[in-house]
Amino acid sequence: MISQTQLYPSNPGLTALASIAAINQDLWRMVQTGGQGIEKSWRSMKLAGLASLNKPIIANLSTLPLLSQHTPKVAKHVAALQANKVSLRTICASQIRQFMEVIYMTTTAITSMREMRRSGNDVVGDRPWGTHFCNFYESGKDLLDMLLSYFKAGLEDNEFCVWVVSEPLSERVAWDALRAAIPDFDDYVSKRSIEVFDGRDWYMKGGTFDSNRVMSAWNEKLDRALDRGYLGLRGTGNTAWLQKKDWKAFSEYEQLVNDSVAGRLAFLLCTYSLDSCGANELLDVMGTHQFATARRRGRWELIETPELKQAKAEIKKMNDELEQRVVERTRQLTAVNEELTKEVIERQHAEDALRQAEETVRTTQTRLSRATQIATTAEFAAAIAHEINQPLAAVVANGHACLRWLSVQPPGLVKAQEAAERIVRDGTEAGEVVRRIRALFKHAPVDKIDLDLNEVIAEVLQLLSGERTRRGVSVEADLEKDLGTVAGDRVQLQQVVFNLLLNGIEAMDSVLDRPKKLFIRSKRQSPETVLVEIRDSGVGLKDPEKVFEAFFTSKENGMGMGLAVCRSIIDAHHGRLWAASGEGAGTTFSFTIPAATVSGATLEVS
Amino acid sequence: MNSDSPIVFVVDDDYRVREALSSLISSVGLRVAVFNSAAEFLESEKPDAPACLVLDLQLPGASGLELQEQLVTGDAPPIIFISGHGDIPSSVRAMKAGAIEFLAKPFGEQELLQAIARAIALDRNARQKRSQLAELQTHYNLLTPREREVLPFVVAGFANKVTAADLGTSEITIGVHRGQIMRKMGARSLAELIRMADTLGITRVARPA
Repeated sequence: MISQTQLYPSNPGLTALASIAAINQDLWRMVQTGGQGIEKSWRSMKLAGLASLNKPIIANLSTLPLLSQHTPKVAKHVAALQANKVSLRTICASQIRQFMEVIYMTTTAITSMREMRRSGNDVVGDRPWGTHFCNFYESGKDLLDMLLSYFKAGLEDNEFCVWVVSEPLSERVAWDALRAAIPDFDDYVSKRSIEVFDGRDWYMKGGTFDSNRVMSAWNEKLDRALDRGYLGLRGTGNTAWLQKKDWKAFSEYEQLVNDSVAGRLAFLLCTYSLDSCGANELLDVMGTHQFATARRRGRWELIETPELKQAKAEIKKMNDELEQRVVERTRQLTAVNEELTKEVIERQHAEDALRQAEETVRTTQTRLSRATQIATTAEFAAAIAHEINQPLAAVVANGHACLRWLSVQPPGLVKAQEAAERIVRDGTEAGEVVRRIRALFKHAPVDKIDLDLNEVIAEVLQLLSGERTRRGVSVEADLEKDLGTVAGDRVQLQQVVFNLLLNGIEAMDSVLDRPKKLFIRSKRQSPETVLVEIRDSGVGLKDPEKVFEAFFTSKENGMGMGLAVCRSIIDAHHGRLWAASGEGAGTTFSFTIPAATVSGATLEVS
Repeated sequence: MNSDSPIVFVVDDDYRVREALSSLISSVGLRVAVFNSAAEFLESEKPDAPACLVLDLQLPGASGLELQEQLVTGDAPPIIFISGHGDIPSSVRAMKAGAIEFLAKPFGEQELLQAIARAIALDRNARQKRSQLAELQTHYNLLTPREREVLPFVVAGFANKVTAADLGTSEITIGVHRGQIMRKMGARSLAELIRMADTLGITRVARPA
């Protein structure tokens, strides 16, 4: 960070920008790494703050865009959470906590940078961290007076003090004077709160003046001071050792210090002997410090350039504005926080409501399916009742007839016998209906034998011959000779063929303008499958699939059970039953059943 | 069993029901004729005898209710409906349209036979009324147009004089017409003539004020 800011020593604007970028990066990382990184980040932020140049506030300003970036980020998080339905309470809270911490740290940093330090001099008064000023002294006493009160204030205020002495003072004089001037000075010494260096050792290590080395030395002292828990670094240096040839280099060094001290927890005083300064040197010194003090004619004076005054005013204004903005931001953030909390609660409620709704839907579905089951059962019962009612009605009537024929004089024995025979016949039929239906409902394994579907078809056609004649329907059968056998229940398959044929016949009841023709075809569709097709020339179906639903009927008195039963029979035979219909082209009902005997060779080929 | 003896028509598409009902009904000495469909019944020759119709509600083609609608206009026999699963709307419709009974299968013999007896009695009665009316109509057809003009005045109790004045003719002429009317209608008294006119639905002329 320091190296970054030092890339542009002559341009405070660029330096500030670099600093902002650095801090941004740092804070970003901090936010991303989460709470455990806060301590470390706080530390690096302090360093970053110290690294930035003339305008300490700008560094802190950088957190504002950072914070504003977070509002959409929070929104995005919320959206993602909404999508994922993760419990957002914790994550939101941690985000908010992080923003609050950033705000707090920013505020703390600003406050600490703006914290006023006592200079120990009435004319200079209190000045913030980052102050870099100079003192022109006439005598060694003036110098000592200035510096003793300077360090007294620093030590008392928990600052780490570094005194670089030059003539007319010496290290020994400095120590003695300090011990004399400051109560309990030995305590500070034992705590190593103050260090005194010889000017030549400090500045001219190795015999030459190296501004970078000296800067590094000051930075090192500052870092150590902060590490050891001091609020900052208070330092002073003297140039009495300075020779004319080094003046230019030193002046550049002063400029560097002046440019870099801002925003750092450093308080620096440079002392110059008024006697040894010519006009040129005076101007240089004045240009490289924020302000100057001097005791002239027994009175302390403060010399401030108009430019400096203006800059200070601007900084103050910026400070105030920033404070205002931080307050504003904090308020906004608090509001956002509250809103988020509210939203989290609302979401929680919504989720609860949703869960409840889902629960209700599930319950309703269960009830509905039960209701459907009951309705289905009721309809089945009605269908069974109808199937059995006809023969039963006949049985009852025949029974009565039989009794009457026996009771008349003379008894009508032949008639009675006929009636009794019909009772047996119809009763047996009713029993058969019951057996079939029971098998259907129980999903009992069908009574499968190898049978020829062509035979089944022929039998049913025989059964329906009367019906066909009565209704004027002609049937064309195209039955494949080598159809092979299927494994099936004869009665059930008869029922299917019967139903489909009767349906076809009935579908043509309304046909008057053309011959009523019914086609039935059987075919070995593949080595594994036998296909039967029944096509009528009736009006066709609007929705061929719907006819298989239970209770669907196009007949006024139909129960809508026939085709549903057919389908369940074919299903039980592992086959498929479907209908296809073209506009005005009649309807084709087709079913397939697996062939009973498939040779191993055929299987392998397939 | 002569040609006058009552006959029961059974229309049901189920041969088992047809056979059973045929046997049951004939066991009580009634004639039975069975039909597979409404169309078959309509096309058939019916003997001139008291009758009733036992009709299945669910028939292929024209349903029982449709057949009922077709029959209700003519001199159709009373209808007894039988149904495998009679629903309330159908039965209400049937009864409103004049069915005398609605039986759900399977039904007891008493219910059916009593209904049949009642239906035949009703039909016999209706047939009698119809034949009486037909006889009256035959007599009425003998009247001349003028006599038919005079009849409403006579049955309204007008004096011949008043009628003559009203029709613009003489009292004597009206008297002759009156005698002819009584003779041709076979009425033995004015009271009988008035009953006949009522049966024929002849409106009496309003008495002048």
